[in-house]
Amino acid sequence: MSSTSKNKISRNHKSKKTEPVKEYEHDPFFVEKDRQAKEFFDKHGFPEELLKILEERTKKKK
Amino acid sequence: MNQKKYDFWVSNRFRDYEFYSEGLKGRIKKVVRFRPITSDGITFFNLAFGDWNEITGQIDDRIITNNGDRDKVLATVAATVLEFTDRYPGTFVYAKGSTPGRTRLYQIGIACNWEEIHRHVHVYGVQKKTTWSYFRKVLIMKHL
Repeated sequence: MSSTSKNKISRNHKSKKTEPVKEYEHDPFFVEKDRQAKEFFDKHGFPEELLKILEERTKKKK
Repeated sequence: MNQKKYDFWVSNRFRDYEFYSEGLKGRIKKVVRFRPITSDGITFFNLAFGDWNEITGQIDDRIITNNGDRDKVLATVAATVLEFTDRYPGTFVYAKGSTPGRTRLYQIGIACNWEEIHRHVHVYGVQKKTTWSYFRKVLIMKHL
């Protein structure tokens, strides 16, 4: 499953920053998950609709 | 999302999130991470999520916690996605369950909260392990 965000609208969620959260960049679990995800996209590519959205955004930036 | 959820903590770059599941088995630390990955010139963020194992000092997503708060945990993970996409607007987030059953559970969760979710994000799924398609609640609900 995958998702791209739409325009920002009111969202009922909250985070706190009072407790430091470490970055898990090198955790073996996440490293393996990321490897699997890359393998998946290298094999299957991206949704056509998503590519169109990205293309439109690129045009707008230009 | 209007469901009950846990408060969560976030790292400075808004890519790592922690929260505590509180239920039948006690207090269990959960970690959610978004990491940028590039494939074919396109960068997306992989969402990975699991329990923090105090003994091994590592994350584990194969654990069956059975803490009696599944919906609240999933709603909290969904909230981290919204927080993340607030900080990184227009990004592409990828998520897959650690087992087919869990992926199915996430699909059901999306379908049950579709009215709220589709206001915030475009959702795509992979059918038959090969074809991308726009997420349609009707298709998912038919399989329930």
